[in-house]
Amino acid sequence: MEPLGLAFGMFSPGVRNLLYLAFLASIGVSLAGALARISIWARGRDEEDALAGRGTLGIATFGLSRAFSRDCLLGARMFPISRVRAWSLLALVWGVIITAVATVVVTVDYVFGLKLLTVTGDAFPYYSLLFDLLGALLLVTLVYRLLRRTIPAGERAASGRDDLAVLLLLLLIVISGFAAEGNRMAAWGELGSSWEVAPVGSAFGYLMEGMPDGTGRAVMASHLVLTMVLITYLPFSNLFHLCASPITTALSATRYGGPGYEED
Amino acid sequence: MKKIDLLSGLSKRELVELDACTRCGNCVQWCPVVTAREDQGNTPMEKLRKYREMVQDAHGLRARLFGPRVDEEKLEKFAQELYECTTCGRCGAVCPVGIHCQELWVDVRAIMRRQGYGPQEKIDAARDILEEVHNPFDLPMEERNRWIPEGLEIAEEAELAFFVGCELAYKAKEMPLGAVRLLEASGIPYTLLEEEWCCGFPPYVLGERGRVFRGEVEKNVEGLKAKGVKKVAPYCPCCLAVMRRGWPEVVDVPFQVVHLLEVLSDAVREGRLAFTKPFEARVTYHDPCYLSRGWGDGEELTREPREIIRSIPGVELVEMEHNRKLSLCPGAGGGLRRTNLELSHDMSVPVLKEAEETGAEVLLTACPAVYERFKMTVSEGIYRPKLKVMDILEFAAAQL
Repeated sequence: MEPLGLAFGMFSPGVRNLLYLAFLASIGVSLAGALARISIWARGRDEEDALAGRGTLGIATFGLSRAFSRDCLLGARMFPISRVRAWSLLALVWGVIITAVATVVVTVDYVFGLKLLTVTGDAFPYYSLLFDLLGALLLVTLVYRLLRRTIPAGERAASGRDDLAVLLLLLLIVISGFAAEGNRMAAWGELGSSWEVAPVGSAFGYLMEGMPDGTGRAVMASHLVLTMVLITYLPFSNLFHLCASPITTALSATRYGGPGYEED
Repeated sequence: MKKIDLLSGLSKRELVELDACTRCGNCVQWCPVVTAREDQGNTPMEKLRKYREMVQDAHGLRARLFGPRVDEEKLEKFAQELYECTTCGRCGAVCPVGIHCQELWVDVRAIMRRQGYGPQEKIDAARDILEEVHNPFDLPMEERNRWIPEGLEIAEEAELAFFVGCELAYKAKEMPLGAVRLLEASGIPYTLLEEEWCCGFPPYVLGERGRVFRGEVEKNVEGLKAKGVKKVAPYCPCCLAVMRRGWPEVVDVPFQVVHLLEVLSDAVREGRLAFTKPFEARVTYHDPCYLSRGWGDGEELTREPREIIRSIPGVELVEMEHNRKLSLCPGAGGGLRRTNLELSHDMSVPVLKEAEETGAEVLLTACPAVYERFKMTVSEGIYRPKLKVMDILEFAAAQL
């Protein structure tokens, strides 16, 4: 197997530049889509609430500031409804946030040669283990949520294509991420020594071992393209609730009456 | 292609709500229409999805770049489904991200109505009746004040006005009679409108907010202003909802709107209203949708009726399994009796059964629409509960 660099680093300069451009384009389309959608909100009439008088950017800022609430970040209202669903929500939200940030950090670290967290840095084993376990948690959570959406059970029967598409996309991103990391470990001859710091990545590595040259690049390219598709698709999908729900949650703070609310 | 506007009239909050659904499905378990219909295709969650997609087709980025493409057949089907909802607000009370379809659907109905979608003929008929006789029952105006007991003197002016409402005036006459007895016993000066018109709720909730709605509201507001009223107290939760939300949309409302039970519970607390006749029995209370879940922030009214009931000597108040913000909807409101009577029938039975399960001898209500709904369920033989259904005003007045 051919030893490759990390992330964008494994591609030739031409392909790398193309990927950079595609990445920028996906962020641009995503931002344009998000702003177009928020600008629809700004066309509404004013009520006596925190959105009154706010334009597109004002509403976006308000939403961002409310995303750090107990209800949003800790799923406070979900626990009285279902502990399993609440924990899976937390695993999904935090799994995506942390693995996305970790991927960006390790890529920047590697591409710019900072050697803080890369495979040669001292902190890497801890970083790797955390990353690996969170990825595994995300994998389990996504499979659970996909099963919940696909096995008809009462209220779940109405799941649509969009619900499944987003979950499938996330699942494919996680799987391709593990496959890319496993391929790197296999190509760098680390499989025997990596069990303790990347058990799941190592398992994927054994599956990737012996694959023909070019597989690593193909897997990484799939991972990057799928991530770009998700970023682009986000404002056009139901996943946009990530931007809208912190606002409605904040505006209805005292009106919640579901399981777990305290009565006078 | 017909120009379609799916946004006008919606508030910023409501437009955000369209995008905020996480599709967790929590609302589906609590929606009384879904329970009665066993229909997974017309859940609050699905309606949100359908409308969101249509809004994107008409106003989203692609529509702005390449032009709108709204499927009118889909729009008409959606508009019909929109009326299979009592606007009870249970979905909003349990929504983890705070989407209040109760208010949203009423405003979306107005959009559909303006663009000519939905059950137009039924709404036209309701509007025409209202314009003609100023009540939704097509009963003559001369009959409106027949409930007023002989000898009752209506004050020329007072700070408080009791707004009777059509359902009380024409159908559930025990209620206004109980109300005036309780007000008199409390010694609270009050007045009534000699020529009261409909509050405008029926057209408002059906999405009709044109000339007729405005006319009804203006007539009432003018009458109340002429009496120097500072506080208006309706009893019907629908009147309360439209006065607080709909009236300010069309006129300047120069007085406060409170519920009659708030006035009476204050009187109980202050010792001005006391009940002397004991009632040795177990009673239960059904929280009406628009009182327990309100129409807007901080409008819930669950404590006051319980205070009044508990102040009656001998009464043992037992709660139904679903109470306060989670109370069941009996299918009386939201224009459902007008647009889908069969569904309304089906929804009333589980509430009566749940009330029976408490072992109570009396089921108290505080909503004339619910009261009439239960009476119809019994009189038409749909279900005969083993308890007596009474209105809280009628019940309390009998214990004076």
